Parts: sequence; structure tokens; C-alpha cells
Amino acid sequence: MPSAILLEDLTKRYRDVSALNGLNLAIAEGSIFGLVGPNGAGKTTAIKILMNILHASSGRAQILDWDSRELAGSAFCSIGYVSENQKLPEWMTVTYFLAYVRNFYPTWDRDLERELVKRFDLPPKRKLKKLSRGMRMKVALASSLAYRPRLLVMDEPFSGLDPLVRDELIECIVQRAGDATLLISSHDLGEMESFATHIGYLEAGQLRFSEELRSLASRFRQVELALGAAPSLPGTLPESWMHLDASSSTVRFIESQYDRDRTESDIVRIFGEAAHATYAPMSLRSIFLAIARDARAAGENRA
Amino acid sequence: MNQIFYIFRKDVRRHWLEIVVSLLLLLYFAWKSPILWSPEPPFGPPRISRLLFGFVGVALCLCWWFLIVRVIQGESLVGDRQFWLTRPYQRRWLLAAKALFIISFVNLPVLVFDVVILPRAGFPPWHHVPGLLQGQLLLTAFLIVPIATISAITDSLAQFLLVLFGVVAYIAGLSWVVGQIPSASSASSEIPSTVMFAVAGGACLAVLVLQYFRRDAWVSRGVLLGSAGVIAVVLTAAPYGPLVERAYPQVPLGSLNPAGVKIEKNDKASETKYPVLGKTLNLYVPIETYGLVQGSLVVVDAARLTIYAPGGRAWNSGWVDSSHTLWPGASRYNQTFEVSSKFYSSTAGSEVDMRVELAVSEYREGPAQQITVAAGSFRVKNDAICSLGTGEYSNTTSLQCRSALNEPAFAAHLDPVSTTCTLPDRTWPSLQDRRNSGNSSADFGGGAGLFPVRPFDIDFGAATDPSGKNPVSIVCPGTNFSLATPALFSRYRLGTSINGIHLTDYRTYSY
Repeated sequence: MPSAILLEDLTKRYRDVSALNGLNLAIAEGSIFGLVGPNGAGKTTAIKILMNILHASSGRAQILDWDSRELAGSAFCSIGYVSENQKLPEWMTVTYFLAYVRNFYPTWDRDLERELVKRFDLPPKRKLKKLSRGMRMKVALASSLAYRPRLLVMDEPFSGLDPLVRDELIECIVQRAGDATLLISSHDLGEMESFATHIGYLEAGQLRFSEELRSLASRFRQVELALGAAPSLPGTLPESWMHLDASSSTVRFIESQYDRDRTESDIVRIFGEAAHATYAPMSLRSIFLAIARDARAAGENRA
Repeated sequence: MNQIFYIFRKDVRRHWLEIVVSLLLLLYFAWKSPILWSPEPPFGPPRISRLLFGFVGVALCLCWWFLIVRVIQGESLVGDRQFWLTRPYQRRWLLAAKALFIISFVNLPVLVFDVVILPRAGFPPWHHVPGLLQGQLLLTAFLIVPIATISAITDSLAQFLLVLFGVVAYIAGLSWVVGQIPSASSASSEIPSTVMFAVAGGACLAVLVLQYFRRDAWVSRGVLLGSAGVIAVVLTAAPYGPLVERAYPQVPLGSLNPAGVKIEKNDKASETKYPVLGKTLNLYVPIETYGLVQGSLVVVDAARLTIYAPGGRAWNSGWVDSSHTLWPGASRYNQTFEVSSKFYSSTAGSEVDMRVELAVSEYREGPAQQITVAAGSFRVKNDAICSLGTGEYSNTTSLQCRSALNEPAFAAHLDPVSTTCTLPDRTWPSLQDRRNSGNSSADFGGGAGLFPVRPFDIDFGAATDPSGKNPVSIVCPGTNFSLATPALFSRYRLGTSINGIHLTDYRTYSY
């Protein structure tokens, strides 16, 4: 499948601080890609470079058919961008704002605009500055969906929103996106789990991994073994095991390449037959916490 | 292309209040504009009305500034959070929309104002189309572009004011520094000033283009800081003295045209001993010129004093500004020089030699027009209207005139003996030929803008009785005078010396 977004060795430095360190990422067309990572990981920087708001120190970013450095003018007719910290023209009313931006898009769908206004329950005559944060986000989203962009990029769109508004937005995004590619950054993993098709984890300006959410969920398991006696741990464990914790006769670890047969044979090889073994699926949040802790430990070991 | 209209319409809707306020202020200004060319009234309500008029003028300029700042910062070019950055704005149309807005609500109202005011003052506007366009150019260059440039590199009104404060501080500081440089007078600053305006104008335009097409605020700020540095270097390192000497070459000996000049001994030197206070004190050097050909006048643009004291010590004033007009026949004036108190005190008791050099512009009068003063308004030189009036503090008459856009250059002559005014005695010594000139040294006029009508006086003074008292008017209805347009003939330097004088004799006026 062709890529809607392609980042190659993208680096961004602010004086002595590196926000991005050789970031490589490909996002397939039609996917809903969740870019997650802790605060300061470089998500916003990467997105701003993609949108040609910032310039990369080195590397290359391609978005749809354009090099991101050439992204301007009519190219934005195919791309929507919604950000938590975007400055909207607060003096405009909701109706005027939509009417104003409508002028710039030849593909603007008035019916869809009306539907979005109704669905989001937007107050037409109220000025943007008088709207709550959630309402403003809805206005931004409505103004970015109404022209049916091929790609919708959202930077922390749900941050600080109450759960009801967040669910409303998510539902609408998924319904209305159609064939569009979505890139959504967030540090809240729970909300991604419900609708993202792909997920990428960014930390310290580098992509730790990027894959389809289904395969990610299927390859991670929380394993708990009940052994007859206290286990003796060998010097080397399978690389796919993370955070092994052994206490009296119980062993817990996270298997990051779960395959029932292979995992069981590894367990038998190391601990012998277990009296009882559970292989619990993990939430996205648990997976990321595990990965983050693992990365931190690896960093500390390197240091 | 349609984007220009959408953005323009949005900006009009956004700033309608500021637009209305600026138009109302301009309307008031237009209504009261005859104040510009009416005589200065005595204290009282008319003077208050004049003050209010001036206040409205300032408020109008501030209003326009505010409007320009707000409209440009409406789509701020600084920062990375503006919604418009990721919308299909075409940068060139955005720039065009902002330009259209400023043209519509600053340039055009001023042009309409000029076109309305000129006929009210008696001048058909279509006679002054180039001048009106020049006025628009000046308005754009000096009011709009600098403000637009600062707005383009700032994100808010507060930031704008901060940068503006910095610019004002820079100009004030640089002016002070340049003021300390010997010879940095207006006569020597033509080339540095041209460089300054070229660099500043080029930097402003470059920043506007950079910001609208590349939106790189730091590079733009760098360009402005760099140009400020270049200007500072040019203005502080310019060889002002040699520039004057180049612009005003020494007249070769035996040359035909130039006037002669000499320093007069101050025979009215006061016995009073003036105290020496401060770091500098003024010396008044009486200068007399002779040999000017008839039909010419000389404007002293700058003067330089060199004092040679015993022991080989010397002091030089550098070229200082002067603006005295000298006429054919013996013409005298006092040239003021600021002298170091330390040097003065060290030479006060001894004889010194003094050399004065004058950088002068010689003008030749064109064909003269004979004009008879009418009882009401009358037209002179096709582009000025005059009427008889009395000054605020005297009862004698003078000609109070107005012209369109620029004050005209003129050289006027009047023979008081032939005046139609009633004089007690036509043999008074004060009834000598009277001459008056205006604007002869200023080739660059102010242009239109908010002041399309320029008031000026043709003042021949008054006659006085032999005791020098009881002034009587010499300009009345029916009085004839001649008026000519002076044209620059040449620029040159004159020099003269006087030996064996005491500086103490030159601390008071000679004439």
C-alpha cells in the first residue's frame, strides 16, 4: 500500500536539544495511525515539520504528493490539520468562521458542514473565544472535515477534553474520515486503542516501533507461571521476555513475541513444566508502559 | 485571486470600528483644515481649536498605525500556532490582500482628503497629480512600510510597541552619537542619508517579502539588525568633513562669479565680561559678503571656524549648519559657533587668528513677475495665493500665502519708497530695498499627505522712524513687488581669515 506519509532520517535540533533523532516512519494510505509517546517525545515537532510549520534540521518528510517543505497554498485543500494549541480567529462566530474558511476549499461540502454543526451541537452565533475548549476543538474539526481531506492530521486533539466530548469526537472522526488517512498524536493510550488501526511509539525523538494495532495486541501477553518450587533463573532469557519477576513459586513476565507453542517450549526449557500458566492479553496502555520501562532500563544500563 | 477579496472582506469586518474611527477623525481633519492656511489667531477659543486640530492629526496617525499593525497581525507571520498556516492561503494573495486593505483605508482616504482640500484652498487638484502621487509615495515609505515591517516580525501589539520603543531608542542614540561627530551637518550628510534611506528601505522591503514568502522571523530580525548596524557604521564612520569639501569645492582664485566674504572686527564688543559656564560657549562671528552679482542670492549651508592660538595650538568647529541668506550688495550676518570653554579660557587673554569657511549655494533668479497687492486674495506665480494680513504680535502687514503641496522657492523684492501705504516720511533711512526669499535651499518638498496646503509668508518687514521705533506697514493694497524663482547656480566654499583678535570680543552680537 502506498504511503500517505513518509519520514526519512528526520532530525530537528533546537540549539543543544534534539527534538527528533533520525526519525523514520511510513504511514499507509487509508490507515488510522496513532502516534503515541510521552510528553516531549517529539510528536508535535514531527507533525509541525510534516505540515511545513517548522523546518527539519536534516532528513526528509513527504506528505501525500508533496515534499513537506513545499507544502503550501492549494496543497492544504487535501490535508486537514487540527491541533490542541492552534490559534483560531477568536473574534469570529462559528458560522462566520466556517463561512470564511469555506471560501478556500473547492471541495467543501455544505451538507456535511451542516451535519457536523448539528452533530457537534455547535452554537452558530457564538464567538470562538466564548466557546469551551472542547467546543473549539469541534469547530476546528468540523472545518477540517467538511472539505473531505485525503489526510487528516491531529495533534493531541483530545487532550483536556471530558470523556463524553472525546468519545463524540472519536466517533465522528471514524465515521466521517471515510477513505482518508488519519494521523493522530496523543499521549493518552486508552483513547487510541478504540479506533487506531496502526500505532507508532515515539520516545526521545526516535520511533521505538510502528505496527498494526491488531498484531501488536496479539504479540504481547502477560504471562504468569505457577511452579512447584522456587525457580532458578538462567543467565540468559529469551530476548522477547520483558520485566521478569520471580517470587517463591510464581514467575511473571511479559512476552513481546507471543506464539503459544514457542512461548510454551521456552518456558519448559527454562523452568520445566509449570503447574499452571496464564497468557493474559494486554491493554495498549500496559504494553506501552512495559515498553517504556524497558527502554528506560536499557538507557540506564547503557549509561 | 479570489482569496484577496475573501481576506480583505474578513479584515474589513474585523476592523470596521477602527476604520470608522479613522475616517471620522479624517473627516474632522478635513473640516477644520482651513486652519492650516489661516493666520495664527491670538490666544482664546480659536487657539484651542487649533490645538484640538493638532491633537486629531496625531490621533489619526496613531489610528492608522494601529490599523496597520492589527491587520497585518491578523494573519500573524510569527509563531507556529496560527490556524491560517495550514489552510490553503496563497502567500502572494495574502500580501496583496493586506496591501489592498492599507491602500483602501489609509492611502485612498488621504488621497481623497488631498483632492478635497486642495480646491477648498483654491488649487485645482488635477494641476498637482505628480505631487499627489509623490505624497502617496512618501506616506507609504515613511508611515506604512516601517510600521508594516515591525508588524510582520511581531506577534502582538505589546511586542510591536516593544520593538518600536527599541527603534526609537536606536534612532535617538544614533542621532546623539552622530551629533557628537564634527562636521556631521546637513550639508555633509547627503550621501550618508541617501545610504541610510536606501539600506533602511531595502531592509524593510526585504523583510516584508521574507516574512510573507518564507516566514522566517529570526532571519528577518537578523536582516533588520544587520541593516541597523550598517546604518550605524555608515553614519558614524562617514568622512563628513571631506564630504562637505567635495560637495562645495574651493573656488579657484580668479574665478569670476563667487562672492567675497570677510570677517569684520567686532567693533561693538561689549566690555561686559561674560562668565564661562558649561563645556561650550557661543561665539558670534560677524560676516560680511560682497561681490554677489545682481539677480543672485547665496544661502550659507554650513560654516567652519578654525582658531589658531599662540604656541601652535588650534581649534576647529567642524562644519556646522547655517541657513543665512545673503543678497547682492553688502550683506552681513552673525555666524554662531559653539566653542570649547576649555580652549576659550586658555586663549582668553591672548591674541588669536581666526579663519571662517562658508559652504554656500548660489542661486540665480529667473525672470521676475511684477505683482500688485490686491485688497483680497490674489494669485502669485500660478501656484500660490496670497492675501494681506497682520502678524500675531505686530500691527504691520505682511503677505500671508499658501501653496499646493510644497512651499515654492521664491525671491521677492520691494522698493518701500514706492509703497502705497501711508508713510509719515518717505525719506526715512529704513526705507531701503526689501528682499525676502523662501525655500530656495530645499529642493525636496514635503509632498501632500495630511498637509496638502503649505502656508508661508512673504515678509518685507516694516519701516521704522529714524529712531528705529514706531513700525509702519510698507505693504498695502496697490503696492508693487517683484517675484522670481531662484534656481541653483553652483555650490562652493568661501574662506576668510582675521588675525590678532581677542575671542572675548566675539561673545556678543555685532549687528
